[in-house]
Amino acid sequence: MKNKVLPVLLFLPVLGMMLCVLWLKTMTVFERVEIAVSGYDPRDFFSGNYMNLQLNWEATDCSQFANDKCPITDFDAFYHFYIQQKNSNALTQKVNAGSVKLVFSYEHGYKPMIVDLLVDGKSYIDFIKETAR
Amino acid sequence: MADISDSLKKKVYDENYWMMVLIYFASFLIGLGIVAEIAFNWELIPDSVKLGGALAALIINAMALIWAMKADKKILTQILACVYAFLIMGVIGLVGQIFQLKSDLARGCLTWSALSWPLFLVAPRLLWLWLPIAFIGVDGSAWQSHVLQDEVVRSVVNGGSAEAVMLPRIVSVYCCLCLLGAYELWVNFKKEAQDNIVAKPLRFWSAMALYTVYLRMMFSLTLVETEAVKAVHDILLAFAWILPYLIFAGLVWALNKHYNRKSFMPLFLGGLALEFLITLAFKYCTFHSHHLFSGAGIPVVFVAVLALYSRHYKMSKLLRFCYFLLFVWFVSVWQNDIFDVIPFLIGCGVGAYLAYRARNKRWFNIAVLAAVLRILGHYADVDNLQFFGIYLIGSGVLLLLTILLLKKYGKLLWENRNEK
Repeated sequence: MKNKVLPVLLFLPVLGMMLCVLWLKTMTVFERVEIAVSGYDPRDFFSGNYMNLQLNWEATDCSQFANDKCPITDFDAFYHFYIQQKNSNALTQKVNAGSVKLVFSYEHGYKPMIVDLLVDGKSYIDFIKETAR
Repeated sequence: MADISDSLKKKVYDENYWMMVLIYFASFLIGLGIVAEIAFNWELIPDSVKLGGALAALIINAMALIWAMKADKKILTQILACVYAFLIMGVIGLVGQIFQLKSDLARGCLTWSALSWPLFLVAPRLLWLWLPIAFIGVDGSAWQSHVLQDEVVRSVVNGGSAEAVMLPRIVSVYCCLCLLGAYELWVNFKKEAQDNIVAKPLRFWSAMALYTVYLRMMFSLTLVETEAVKAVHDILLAFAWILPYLIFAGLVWALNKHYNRKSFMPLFLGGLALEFLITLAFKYCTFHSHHLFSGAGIPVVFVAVLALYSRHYKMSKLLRFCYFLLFVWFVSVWQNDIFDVIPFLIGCGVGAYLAYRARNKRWFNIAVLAAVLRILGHYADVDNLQFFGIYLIGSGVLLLLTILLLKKYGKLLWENRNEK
């Protein structure tokens, strides 16, 4: 029985990761909201390079939420956004200039999930492509 | 009793066992390199490609592992299991990057432990890796330093007690120790564990000590310097660390006596408890802010245990003393300055020469490998993750080559020595 069960158990990590990815994907289908941020660029070996971004509710347009009220308690105080090391300086300047927003998939009662970062109104991927030129 | 003593000596002198440990370490470096490369975060590759590639790598590895098990390829099975463990870690990191999840070491460790536990059914030696990571995951979640610090300060400021905040954490430490201790005792006293009376507890309690170092480092770096938190820290040391070790030392000693078995574990646990008591005492001396002294405590305990073990080695006292000094120096004054590396390499050279003169192959190999590890450590640079990943993979390969060369050409060297 051990010879039959063990190979199945070895696929447990694969199954676990697939279920995890599916669950996270379902959390990204809700309405998109944009929230202004401020932050800095720390270092973390286990996670790679990321920006430590604090939500700036004062600079956020609350009309995108129900009753024009920002649901501050539904969000954490700060979030991580993973970036490449070579883009950290350019992005830090934009964050300091206040031209960066985090885009969340948000539905009341569910954990908000980051889906994008806007730099000067453009997606982060477009921003780094322009920076690379 | 004589049978146990002979099997103990066999295990201690089993060079292949120690070489396998180092092969695992080399696999660990290669695996860590893979993790670093993933952490480098290749943004321009679509997420679906990254995820698909990672899951495909897991599936291929799992299939290769199953094939190696069925083909009875023992060493390949161990290596593939080790790489699989690190691949799982890498994929967890990748998923965190893709979905922009907050980096949380404890939660990551917990996820990894939950997913990877079948691996040590295949490679029991992976328990070395699994135990401390699972421990960090389970208990680290309760001991997240920034959360704990804020909660304690908030509790004290609002008129509550620091102990009320610390109590659930202390309970979680006890629960973790009980769970791990129960598992270790079950493994230790199973019939088939009779010839591993030292190896299994050595692995387990080394993992426990590693976890303790991690806990202590966390606290010494993050505690707020107020009188209330200092007092809580001392309570934590006294109850969460010292007492469980003493209890388990007593329990294992009683079980050993009942089953008429020898084990150094009670001594090791008692030594750890003593070390924490010394650390506590240091807090109230002028040296209390000097981390060198508290940081050197754990390695000193390790080396003391090794020194006790070395009764079985036919080594000169001078050689033993050299290695004692080298090890304490290695851990306590680690710096990435070339002027620290060169004396260390000279020390390794002297140690290798003394071991060669004493016809002690094991310590000769240790000296050579320590030198290689120190050189690798000197060139480590975490700032650039991409190059660090390549460096780690290269280091793992270099270490594997060194082990291979020691095995292959070491025979010629020692045959030549024995003829003289």
